[in-house]
Amino acid sequence: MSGSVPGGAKAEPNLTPILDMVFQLITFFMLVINFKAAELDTSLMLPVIGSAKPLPEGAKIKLLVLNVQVVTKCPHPGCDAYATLQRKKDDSGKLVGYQLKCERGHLTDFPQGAITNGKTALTIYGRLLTKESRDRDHPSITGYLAQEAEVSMRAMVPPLTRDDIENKGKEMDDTIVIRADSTCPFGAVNYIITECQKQGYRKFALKTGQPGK
Amino acid sequence: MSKKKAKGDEEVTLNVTAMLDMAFQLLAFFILTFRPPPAEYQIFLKLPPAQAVLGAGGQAAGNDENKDPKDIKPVKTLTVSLLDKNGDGSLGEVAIGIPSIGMKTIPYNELGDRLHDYFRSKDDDSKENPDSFDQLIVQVSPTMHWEEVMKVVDLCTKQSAGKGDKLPGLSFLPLGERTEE
Repeated sequence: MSGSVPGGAKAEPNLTPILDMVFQLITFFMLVINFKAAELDTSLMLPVIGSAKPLPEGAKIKLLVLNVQVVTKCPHPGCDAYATLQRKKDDSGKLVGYQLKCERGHLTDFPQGAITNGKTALTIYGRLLTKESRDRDHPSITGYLAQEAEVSMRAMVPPLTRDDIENKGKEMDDTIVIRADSTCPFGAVNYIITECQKQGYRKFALKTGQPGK
Repeated sequence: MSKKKAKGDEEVTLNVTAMLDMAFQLLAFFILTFRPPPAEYQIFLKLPPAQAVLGAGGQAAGNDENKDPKDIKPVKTLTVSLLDKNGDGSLGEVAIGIPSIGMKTIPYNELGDRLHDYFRSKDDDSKENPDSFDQLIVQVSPTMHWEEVMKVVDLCTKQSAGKGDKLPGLSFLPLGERTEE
């Protein structure tokens, strides 16, 4: 940025104010960056109801977010991965159709608009978990919830044991956040709720979209 | 670091160009990865497992399947049944009532008023009150869309919203698990 004109004065712009401003912008973005958004499956269209409330400001609630949906086998030839329903929207955000998107990225048009006879699945940080364990990274839904419950029980003061939950009627502190698509069958959501209840969870937050949007 | 001599004094100026370049790169990263979280609302509920209830035929229902019916205490249960009539996930038929007294099929638009009556009646502590209940079970066809279930949860939540208390032991059950009706 500095340069000198032969025979003339050396012109050096003062970069300090611009640097100050850039650091302020960086600070702003660092503060507002939300890593928690990674646990939300934004392809889900949540139901909208009137009595739902936003999370209270500064609420110190331990949340376990579960994105519930149904999956089906990818119709792409030779692909045995699971596929989820996606909504196709045009530039103005208007719904123009549905398609299946599998774990390997295959896209297939799906005019039916809802998966019937699909398998119940949870999306956890982009991983699809089903009732059956597939590999180490894809444990069963029950296995995953048991792992989370184990961690939560140890974190409680005083720590809980499985016996406290099963025989002494103790409850977990954590709140299970159910994010289910509006077209998700009740049977799938109920399976997840029942599995959470078996692990000792009693507090639930049923997520909805913002009314009026 | 550039040095500039002025009348025998040495003025040291810091070259901030490199720092500015790095700061711009950081800024570009944060701008490109910035995605505001979606605005979401929620309903907080305490969802205990459904307590077993004794039906008219003495059959136990609910989630306590392994218990002997003799060991089960009767729990007065207000039940809302949502039937997926067409099998397409939409709401077909709604029934409400206390199973030991009788269920009544009603149009969906009357459900709010009926719930209001039951919840108002619940505050009446007299033992003779036939409409008092200890738990609320929402029985739903497994194929019903979640959106329809949430509409009913919304109606239930609104009944207790003004009183500052939470729903009394709301539980979900898939239709077909209870047989006493």
